[in-house]
Amino acid sequence: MDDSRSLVILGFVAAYLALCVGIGIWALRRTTSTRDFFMAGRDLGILVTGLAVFSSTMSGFGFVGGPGLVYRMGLSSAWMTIISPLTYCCVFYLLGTRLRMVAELRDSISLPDAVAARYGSERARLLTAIAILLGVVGYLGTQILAMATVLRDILNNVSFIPEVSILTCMVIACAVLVFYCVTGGILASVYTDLVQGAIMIVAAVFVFFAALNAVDGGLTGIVTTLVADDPESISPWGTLGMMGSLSWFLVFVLGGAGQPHVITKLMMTRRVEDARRILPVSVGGYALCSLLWISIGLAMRALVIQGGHPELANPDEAAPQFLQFHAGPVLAGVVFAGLFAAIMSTADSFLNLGAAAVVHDIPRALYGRSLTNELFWARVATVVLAVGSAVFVLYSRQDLVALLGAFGWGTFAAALVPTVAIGFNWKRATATAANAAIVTSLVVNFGIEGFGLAVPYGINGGFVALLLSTTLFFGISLSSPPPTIDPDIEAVMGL
Amino acid sequence: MKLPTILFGLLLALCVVLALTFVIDEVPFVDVPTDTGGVQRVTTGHGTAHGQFSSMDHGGAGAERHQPILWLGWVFGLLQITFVVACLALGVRRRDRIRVPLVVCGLLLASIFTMIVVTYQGYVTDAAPALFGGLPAPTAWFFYGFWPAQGLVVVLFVVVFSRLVVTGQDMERFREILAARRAGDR
Repeated sequence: MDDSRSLVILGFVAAYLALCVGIGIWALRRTTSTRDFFMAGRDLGILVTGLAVFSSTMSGFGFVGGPGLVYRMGLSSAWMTIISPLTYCCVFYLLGTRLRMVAELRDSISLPDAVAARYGSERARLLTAIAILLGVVGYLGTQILAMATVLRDILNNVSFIPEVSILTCMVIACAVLVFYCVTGGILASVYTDLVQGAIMIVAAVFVFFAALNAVDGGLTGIVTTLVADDPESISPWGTLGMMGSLSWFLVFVLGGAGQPHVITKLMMTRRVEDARRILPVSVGGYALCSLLWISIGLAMRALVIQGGHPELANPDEAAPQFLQFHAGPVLAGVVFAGLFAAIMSTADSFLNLGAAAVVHDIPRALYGRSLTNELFWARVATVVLAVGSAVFVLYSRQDLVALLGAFGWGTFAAALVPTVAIGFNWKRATATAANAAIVTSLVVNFGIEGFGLAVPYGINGGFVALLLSTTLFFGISLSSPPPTIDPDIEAVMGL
Repeated sequence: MKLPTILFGLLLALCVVLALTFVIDEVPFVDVPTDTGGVQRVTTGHGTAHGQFSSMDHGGAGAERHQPILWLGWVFGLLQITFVVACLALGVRRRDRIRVPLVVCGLLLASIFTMIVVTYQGYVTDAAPALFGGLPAPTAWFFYGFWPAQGLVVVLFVVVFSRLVVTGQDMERFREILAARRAGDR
């Protein structure tokens, strides 16, 4: 790649990182309490929340892993992304108002706080916090590694910059992330999410058209090439087949209502009634980003088959290689900034969730109170979690990192869909059922991933965990006497 | 029957579908002799390595690999759609009034999903499949049908929100509950 092109890309990324630092400084003055740090003072507007909800869902996995999956498997993974309108409907129909009301009623500053209030159970709080913390460490580690890898590729493409190591890139990426998360807490996080979401939308729309233009004959050219090579790849089930693809449907539709980095945002809105307008904003943003996910993957698969691009060493190179060789420098710059945005918008949410679990939820569950000077310790925990995750991802076995990364979405779905999404809408749900669902999700997900157990027809392990934990949750609740719920919570659940 | 009981029934039905995947043999497969003298069955029904490009998977013969489970896949999809729509209803207190529009949305999604399955059967046996809007028929149903149809559920939420999800009375009652709680705290 020539230097001018690399410099344009580097310029966009540097400007984006500087903007994140600026937002961190701006948010510092507005963050004076733990309520501000974890809940943004419960004062977020419609656009900010809508874009923050979608941008924290679309992580680096969506911008890099998604096109990689389409390149490798054809349209199988479309069942993760095309179904996003239903995903957000599950989030908003089930939790859009209920979770927000419970949060205000009990002044909850974290999801485990709200869970403890709903079930009247400190054990439920502890298990929710542990599930979140386990997912956070794995997810955060992989996001930091992804950021460092992309940054290294960008820097090493500029001839006058000496070879930069992955460690150096990790330090730079972590420094920016930690700076705005420590100074501005969730407020900085959601306002950077706003910028990040906007960048991601612009990037996705332009990339969609660039991808169609990259292959002779546009969409028809791509499809004709793929049909001639392997008709299954461009069928709705892709190469994975029908059962495997459809197993992703439930995990990604219903599972969305169990993602703590997504649903926690619902606790921060200014007004309960805002849920009505936030939903279409989130759905629209994600739908546009789905265009990038699908189009780059299909275009790169067609280009490689046609001989218009050398075979990729790794499917995850589909997006970076497309940008380097088939997109203009300005577009590549915007999309690389969008890629950072996608990664950071998820990572910052996880940092905040992890810090809340460490300084607020786990001490409360174990000792009945939070740490004194919680805001200070929240900032310390944010630094420790980011550095700890980076060290963990650098020095642990890569299969362990991948295991914990994969563990994230499926575990959150299996643990929190029954406990939160169903439990906040069904008074018969018991604390025992919630605890059993969380433990089942951890055991089944770790069991399947850790022991490499294969489910027939490529059915996703997260689906099995979600199905089992939710079935158990309903079974235990229906066979138990109705639980006693605090009168105020019961009244809110009746609205 | 109460909605949670229906949801539990749907989950049990999904468990049965999952159990069936363990007893219906995945095809195609090859039996490979192992070092210990046994035989290990290797299935390629959910994709295999591409013959020419190692970083890609290949789906193989769609008709062959889906023949034993196409009906099960159809049931699997319908059960999941029904479960998701029923879950959406769980989130609305005035369930009796949103039932009909949600059922209509569910039926529409189920019908489009059925069209995906039906047209897929023709697609895998057609040597030169026709394209609709640049896509094969089942994929066109997926992208141009299933994707936008979900938007109806979004529109429904926006339209009925202040009448069925959270009404002005609900908000008044919520403020009373909140005030009572805060008074109790003091």
